[in-house]
Amino acid sequence: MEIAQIVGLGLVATIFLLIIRQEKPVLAVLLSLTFATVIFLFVIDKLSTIVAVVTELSHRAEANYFFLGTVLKILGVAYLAEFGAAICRDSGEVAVAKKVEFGAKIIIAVLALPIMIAILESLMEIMPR
Amino acid sequence: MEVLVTIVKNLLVIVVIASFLEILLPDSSVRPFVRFAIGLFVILAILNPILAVFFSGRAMQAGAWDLPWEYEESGDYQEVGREVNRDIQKVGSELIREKIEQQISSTAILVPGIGDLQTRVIMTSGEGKLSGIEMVIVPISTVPEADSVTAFSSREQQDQEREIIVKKLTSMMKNLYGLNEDQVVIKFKGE
Repeated sequence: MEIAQIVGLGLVATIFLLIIRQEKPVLAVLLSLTFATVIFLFVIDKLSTIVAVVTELSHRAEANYFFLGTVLKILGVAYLAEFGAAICRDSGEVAVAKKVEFGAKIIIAVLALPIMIAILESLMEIMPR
Repeated sequence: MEVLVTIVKNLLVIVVIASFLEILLPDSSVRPFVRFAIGLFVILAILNPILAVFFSGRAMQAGAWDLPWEYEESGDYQEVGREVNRDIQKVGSELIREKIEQQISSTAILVPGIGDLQTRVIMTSGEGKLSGIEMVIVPISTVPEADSVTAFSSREQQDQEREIIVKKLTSMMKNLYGLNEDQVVIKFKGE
């Protein structure tokens, strides 16, 4: 039962964090980061399976992989930003967390631009002049 | 009708994928942005087959400028490209060398006095230019078998014949391939 392991790890990390945060907030941030990394490594295999299945399905549906790849990248950026922002927020640095989210929004917008342009170009081409 | 069925099937899969990706979204302020991108992907998936059917096979393609350029990997790609280029040049140069050898052999055999010959062409490795020719000739013996009386004079005659052959071949190679005299090496078998 992997979920039991994850929940157990989470509870242990929470208890440690509650104790450490009062005395040494810097160590608490490090522990939080370590916990997040462990969880990420724990599920990375399953994540790659999800990506593989989605890719396979999109191939079968004859979807352009470039666009699906972009969507997957956007998802990755969102997760990474969420992870960073949450750590910043835990440490009480809400302003920094906002900046991380702002950066992520810009990167997502840039990644989504090619898809938007492809749609707009196609629509403009089929419009009567 | 069959085309429509395929389009609907594919769309169904794509919409399911998009919904699945949406539930994977993190619950943060970037969520609307990601939903927007997924929405664009769905629109694209719907538009693409429709455009392909109604507008003579036109399908949306990612333009070359859309493709991400991995700066770290670009060096590797360039090196691989150079290697492939080198291989192609090597194979091409080898083919050219063989053809030139055949060409030289078939031309040189027409010179009187030559029975058979082996040709080796030397090419520069970088540019693939012809840099030299080596020939080993098996002459047709026009001189009668040497005996005690005519040995000296027949040897002289043989040398003269060989000199003529060398001159003719050198001149031929110079004219045909634009080589210098020192780039054409001609030997007789047994020398």
